[in-house]
Amino acid sequence: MQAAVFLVLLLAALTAFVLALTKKISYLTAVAPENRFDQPLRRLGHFVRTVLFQSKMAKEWYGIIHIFIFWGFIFIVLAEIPFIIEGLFPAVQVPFLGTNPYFYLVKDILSLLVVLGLLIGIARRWIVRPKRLYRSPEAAIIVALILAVIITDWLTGGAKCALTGSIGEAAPAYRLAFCYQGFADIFYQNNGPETLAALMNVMWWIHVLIILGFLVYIPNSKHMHLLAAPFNGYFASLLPLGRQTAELDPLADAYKDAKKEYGVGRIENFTWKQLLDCFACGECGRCMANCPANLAGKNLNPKHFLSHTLKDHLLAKGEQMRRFGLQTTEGLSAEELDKLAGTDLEAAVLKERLVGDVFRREDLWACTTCASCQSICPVSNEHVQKIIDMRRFEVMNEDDYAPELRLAFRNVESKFNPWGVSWSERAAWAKDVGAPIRKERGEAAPEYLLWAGCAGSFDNRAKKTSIAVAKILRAAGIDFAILGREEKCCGDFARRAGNEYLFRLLAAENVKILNGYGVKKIITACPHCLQTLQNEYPAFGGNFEVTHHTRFILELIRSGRLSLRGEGGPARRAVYHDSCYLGRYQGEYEAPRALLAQIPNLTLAEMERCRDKSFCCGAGGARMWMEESVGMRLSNLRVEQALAQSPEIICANCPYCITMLEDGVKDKDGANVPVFDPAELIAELL
Amino acid sequence: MRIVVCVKQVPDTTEVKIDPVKNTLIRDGVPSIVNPFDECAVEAALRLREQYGGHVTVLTMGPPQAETALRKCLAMGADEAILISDRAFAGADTLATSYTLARAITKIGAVDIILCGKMAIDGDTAQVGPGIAEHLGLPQTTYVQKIREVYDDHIVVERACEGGYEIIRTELPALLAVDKAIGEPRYPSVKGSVRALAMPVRTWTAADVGAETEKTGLNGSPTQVMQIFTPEVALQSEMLTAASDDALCDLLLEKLIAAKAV
Repeated sequence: MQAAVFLVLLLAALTAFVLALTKKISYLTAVAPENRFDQPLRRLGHFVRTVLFQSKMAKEWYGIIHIFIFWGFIFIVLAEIPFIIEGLFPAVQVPFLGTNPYFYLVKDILSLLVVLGLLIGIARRWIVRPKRLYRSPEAAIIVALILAVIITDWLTGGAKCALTGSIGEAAPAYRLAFCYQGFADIFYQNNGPETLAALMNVMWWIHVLIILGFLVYIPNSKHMHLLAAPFNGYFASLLPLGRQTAELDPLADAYKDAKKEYGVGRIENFTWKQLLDCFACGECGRCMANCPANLAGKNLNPKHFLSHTLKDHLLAKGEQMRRFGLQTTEGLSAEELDKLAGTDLEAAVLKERLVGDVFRREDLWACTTCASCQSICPVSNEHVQKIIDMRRFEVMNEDDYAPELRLAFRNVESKFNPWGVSWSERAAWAKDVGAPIRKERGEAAPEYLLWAGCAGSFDNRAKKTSIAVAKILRAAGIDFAILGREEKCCGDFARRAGNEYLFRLLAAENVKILNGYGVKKIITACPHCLQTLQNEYPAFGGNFEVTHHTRFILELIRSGRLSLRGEGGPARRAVYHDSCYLGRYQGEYEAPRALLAQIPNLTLAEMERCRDKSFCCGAGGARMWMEESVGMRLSNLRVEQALAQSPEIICANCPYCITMLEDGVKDKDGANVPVFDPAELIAELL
Repeated sequence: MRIVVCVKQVPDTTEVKIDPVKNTLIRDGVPSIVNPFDECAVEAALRLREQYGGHVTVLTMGPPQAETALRKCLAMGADEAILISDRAFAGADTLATSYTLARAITKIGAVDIILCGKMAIDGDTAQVGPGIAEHLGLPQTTYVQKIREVYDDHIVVERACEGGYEIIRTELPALLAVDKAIGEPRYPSVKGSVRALAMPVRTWTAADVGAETEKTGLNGSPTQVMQIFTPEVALQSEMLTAASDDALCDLLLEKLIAAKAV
C-alpha cells in the first residue's frame, strides 16, 4: 500500500520535474546554435577541475562550504536509493550502498559538514549580509529544504537504530553512522518498539515528501543551477579569453539581406550556451563583488544581468515564442509583432528589444571588458562575450552609440589611431632614440619587430615608455625595427566596442603588412596590442610570437644580454598594478614583478586586489574613449587602493592604465605619486 | 527632387608633403579621402532627400580607384554613383574638369540641384563648381552655409561672406557650392558600408558623356603649373619673462613699439 502511494507520488513528481525541465531546455534549443561539442577530452578536463574539484570555489575560504555541500549532496542523493527501498521493503538490503558501513560513515561526515556549511551560509547571507548575496525567498527555501532533508534522514535512521536495540546486529550497515546513533540516543531513548516503528515511518514519509518536493522545485527555481552548472562546466569556452566565441563576419553574404541583424539585439540571437549560463548561475555574486563598474557605483551588475535580467526575459519571451510557434522575431517588423501580440500583455514581451527594454543601455557601456567576472565565476559563465554581442548590435546594426566613440572610430578610419593625430607622425617618437623603420631596412629583415601601438606612438606619456623600450633594446644589441607609418591601430577597442567591421579591416591590413615583411617575433609595450596580435590575429592569418616588453626585458637581463648599473636611485616603495589584458587575458603576472625585482632599492608592495583579482583602471573595452558620467571614476578608486599601500611610485604595464592612474592621482588632493612603466625604471639603469 | 553631388577624391592633404626636386606632391602611401567639403555636399543632399524626398546621385571624375570615394558616399546613403573615367581626361585642369562634369550632368538629365563642396583641399581653386554652372548655363551660389527653403522652382539659401551672410534666392535648377557649416557629414553605418559594397558603380567614358576630345584632359587645359613649393613662413618667437605682471606688460609694449607693431 505504502509502496503504491509512494510510486504514484514519485511518478507525479518526476512528471512535473521532466515537464518543467524540458520546457526550459526547449527555450534553449530554440535559440542560436553553437558548436560546443568539440575536444571532448579537454572539456572533460575542465569539467573535472571546475565541477568535481570545484577549483574556483577554493579561492575564497567560504567557498569551502560549497565544496562540502556539493559532495555532501551527491552522497545524500546516493543514500536516497537504499533509504527509499529499505523504507518501502524493510527486508531488502541494497547491495554496495545499503550494506556498506563506510558509505554511511562518509555520508554522515559529509551531512554534518553540509549542515555546518549551511549554518555558515545562513550567517553570511542573513547576518553578515554582504552586498553580493541576495536574501531572496528562493535562497531561504533551498536552505530550509536541504536542512530538512538531512535532519529527517537522521531522524529516520536514528529511529531505525533505536528500533533494532542492539546496534550492530539488526543494522550492521549503520555501525559507523555516528549521526544516526547520536539521534537514536538523543531522541528515541524512552520509546517502545511500536512507537519507534511509527515514528520511523512518519519521519520516512516526511523525508520522502521533502525529497519529491525538492525534485519539483529544482527546475522551477534558481536551483536549476544544480542541473545546469555541471553542463556549463563541460561546455565552457576553450578559446583564449577575448577570442570571439561566436565569429561574426560583417561582410558575410548573410548580411546583404537587410533584415539580418549584426550582433545580438534579441534574446533568441544569443546561443544556447550563452543562455545556459543564466541557468548555471548560482547567484553567488563573485562576479558582482569583483566587477569594477559595480564597485564604482554604476548600475551594471554582472550577476543580476545573468541570473535575473536575461533569464527572466528568456523565460517570458521563450514561452510566448513557443505559444505563437515563432522560431525567431528577427525580420518581423514592429507592425507585424503588434498584430501578433494584439492586446495580450504577456505577448508584448515579443516586441522587447534586449538593449533599451530589457537591459539598460548605460549598463551595456559601463563594462570595461576586464573579465574579472568570468575569470572568477565558479560555473564558467561567459559574461563579456554577451556584452560585446549586444554592443555589436547597437553599433553595427542600430548605429546608436556615444558620439565620442563615433569620433574615435572615425579617427581610426582616417588616421589609423583613435587620437586622430596625423598618421604620418606615427614614427616621430622614434627619431631621437634611433629606432629603425622596417621599410627603410629593405631586404635585411630584423629579428624582432617592435610594435609601438597607437598609445606608444602618439600619446605623450606612452611615448616615454616606447622610447625607454627602444633604448633598452638598443643597449642589449637587439636587431629590431618598427613599422612606423605602416602600422595601424590593432583594433582592440573597436572590437570591444562592437565595431567588428572596423576591427576586421584593421586586422586584415595589419596582418597583410606584417606577413608581407615576414614578421615572426613581435615585442610590444601595450597589452591590448599584445592580446589582439597574439590571440586574435591568428583568425585572420597572422601567426606571430608576441611578447610583452616586460617579459622580453626580463629575459634579456636573465640571459645576461642586458646589464644594469648595480646601484639604483633612492630606496623606493612601489606598488604594482596588473592590467586586465596582460593579467587575466594573457595570464602574465610574474614577469613584470620579476622585472621590478631587478631594480635595486625598490621594494614591491601588493594591493589587496591584485593578480587575477586586479581592479580595472577603467580604460578597457573602449571606455578609454568614452565619457564616464555614472558613478565614481574607476581610476580614482584604483588609485585609492594603490595609495592605501603608501607607495612612493606606482608601476603599471599598460599605456592606458598609466594614463588612467595618473589622472586618478591628479584627482586626489595632496597625492603626488608618479606612475611608471617598469621599462622606464630599467632604462634609467642603463 | 533629383540631386547630383560632384565629389573629388583627394589625397589626405594634412599628410601630404611636396617633393622639393620634382615639384610634385608625394603621394606614396598617402591615403585618399573624399574631399571634406564634398562630404558636406553629400550630407546636404541626403538631408534634402530626407526632407523632400528624391534621388541622390554622386558623380566623380577620376582614375578607376576613385570608385572608393564613390563607395564612401554610397555608404553615407547616396542612391547611385557614377564614375567618369577615361585616359583622355588625364592632366585636366579646372576648366576641362568642369566641362567634363557638365557633360555628364547633361547626360544624367533632369537635375534640380547640383551640389559640390566649395573647393577641394588639394588644389584649393574653388573653380570647378562655378565652372560646371557656367558650362550648363545655370545659376550658381557659392559658399552656401545653409539651405533655408526649397520650392518647386526656386530655393533660398544663406551664402557666407565676410562678417556675415547673404540670403539668396535662386531659380532651380541651380548649382550650390557648400561650406562646412552646412552640416557635419554623417559617419557611414556598418550596414550602410556593407550595402554600399554590393551596389553598382557605373563608369562612363569620354564617349559616353559625349565630351569633345579637344576640350578634355591636357588638350582642354589652358592652365600650366610653373612651380609648386611650400612657402617659407619666417616666424620668430620669443618668450618674455619678468618679475611682475606690470613689468611684463611694459616689456611687451617696448618690444611691440620697437617692432613698429603699435
